[in-house]
Amino acid sequence: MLNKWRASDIPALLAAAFLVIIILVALCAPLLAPYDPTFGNLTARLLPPAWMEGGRPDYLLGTDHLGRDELSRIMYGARISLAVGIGAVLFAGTLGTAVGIIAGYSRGLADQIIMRVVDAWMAMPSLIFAIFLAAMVGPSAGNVILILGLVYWTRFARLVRGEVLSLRERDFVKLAIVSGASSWRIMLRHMLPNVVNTVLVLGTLTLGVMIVTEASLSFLGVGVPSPEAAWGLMLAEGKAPMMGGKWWLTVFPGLGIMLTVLAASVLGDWLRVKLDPKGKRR
Amino acid sequence: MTEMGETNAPLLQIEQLEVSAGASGRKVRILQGVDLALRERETLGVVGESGSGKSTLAAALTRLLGSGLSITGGRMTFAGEDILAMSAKRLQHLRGSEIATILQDPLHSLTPWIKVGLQVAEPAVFHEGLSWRDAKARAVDLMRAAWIPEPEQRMKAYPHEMSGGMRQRAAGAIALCSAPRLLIADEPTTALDPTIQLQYLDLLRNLQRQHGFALILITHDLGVVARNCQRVAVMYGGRIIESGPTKEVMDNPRHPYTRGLLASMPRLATAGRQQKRLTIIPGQPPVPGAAVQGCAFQPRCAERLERCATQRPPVFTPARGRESACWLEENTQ
Repeated sequence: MLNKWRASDIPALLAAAFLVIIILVALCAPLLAPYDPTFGNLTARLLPPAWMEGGRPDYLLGTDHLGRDELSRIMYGARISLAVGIGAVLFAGTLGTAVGIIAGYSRGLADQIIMRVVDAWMAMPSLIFAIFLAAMVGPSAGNVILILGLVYWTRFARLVRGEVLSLRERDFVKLAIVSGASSWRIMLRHMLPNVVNTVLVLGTLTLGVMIVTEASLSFLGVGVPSPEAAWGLMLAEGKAPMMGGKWWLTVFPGLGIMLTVLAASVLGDWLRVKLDPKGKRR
Repeated sequence: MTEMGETNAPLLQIEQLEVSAGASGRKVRILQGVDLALRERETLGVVGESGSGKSTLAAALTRLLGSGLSITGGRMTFAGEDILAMSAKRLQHLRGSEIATILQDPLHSLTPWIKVGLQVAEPAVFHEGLSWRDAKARAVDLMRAAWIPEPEQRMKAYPHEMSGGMRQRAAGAIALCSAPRLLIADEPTTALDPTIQLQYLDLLRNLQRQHGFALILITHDLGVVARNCQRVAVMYGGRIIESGPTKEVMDNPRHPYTRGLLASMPRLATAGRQQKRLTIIPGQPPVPGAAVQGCAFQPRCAERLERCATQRPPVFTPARGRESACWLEENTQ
């Protein structure tokens, strides 16, 4: 499956490389960042990037209105975006997969009830729902994971339930049933491994959505609280200086969000095609 | 094998079993009152064409009917225990450990990502609480008994690494893992090559001799029944219309449908018996669950009487051990 690279694999390769770099930067931020991201040097406020008129070489990407180093904040922001994004995907994926398998396996009334709940859940506009939840639990990085997981698990549940419904009719599942295997064993051992690929693809594609939603929440002030360096928060704080021509305070975190989300989507799309046993579809 | 006390009480007893589809408002009866008794170690062949209800009967035995189907009448007892009164937990134990099933399609009945040996060993662990170690040792023996060459190596193989026939034999080994008292084989050979079919049926007979289970062989192939079964039950339109010892039924069929079925089967011309033209039964089998007032076979029957269209024939006993649901028997009683 993976032993022959084609030209069409190059974007995915670049995306994967970019994500690996971002992840490394996030992991090593304390080692790489030149400054403490929350430390403000009030004598060096709103400095432009180093290559511009008035920029200083020790502040490569400039500073914000409190004199905090933009580069350091971007690096620490990657930490939060990725940790929250990946954590939320794991949470939503686990919850959604469990619910989906149980619904698809039990069929009948339990399935009907669960899926109507899922429908109602999905009918709510996700950002507004997230803001509502955020207002209830209060802002913190951990809570954002919880909120995003609770908003997006239904996608996984619906997809997995569909897969399980068709698996239920497969002969190997029937054989497990007629040989008296317990329901838990059938779900975990005979069904779960067959939905892992699908969940992996949806998980990768959802990572981008999670990161954007986290940034939106932080931008709106109900996500990761200040003074932490979250990309969405940096956008919010860079808003006013941007009107005064200080573009670097919004462009760099914006680029961070955009490129990470793009990389996750490209990779997810590539995985979807690669893991599809029927070969390249669409 | 220890000799079990030969009692007269049957291992499996089914009385007037009725299975229906659909909601209570518009019920459609798929099985319309099936009577069946099976003794310990006996082999019963159930024959019938598609839609006659034979697979539904097999599924009903372990209460694994498809969605929308339900048992709406009758009684079923297994070793004296009422199957219809069993709890879900009891049923789960019944399946596999007392009543085992072999499914039709050998290519897809093993889970692709679990090693074959584990799949064969599983029932012993879950039904009898054996350790994996002991269960695996038993699995090796079972696979050897199921004529799988080099069972120690095959234990570690994945299903796709084995041939269709071998997978079917592995499925047989799974069925026997917990020493069931009854094995239901639903068209076990339909998907196999003819040469493998014969071999597989030999295997089943051989295993039956060794393990002493009763066998219900569901098939549409009368030849399979003739070679393997002591008794045969012929199904038509959701009923058993004739049953009896295989040889007697084959030599002297009582029900017009059985006669037609036998006449439509090719046989080798033997000395003194000239091969005649194969005959066909005119008409179509009834749609499963069609509401039939009289005899379900009556529209296609060459020997029908006036009452056949309006009155459903009861089961007559024309001779010892023979049963036939046909009005023609009325006078022979």
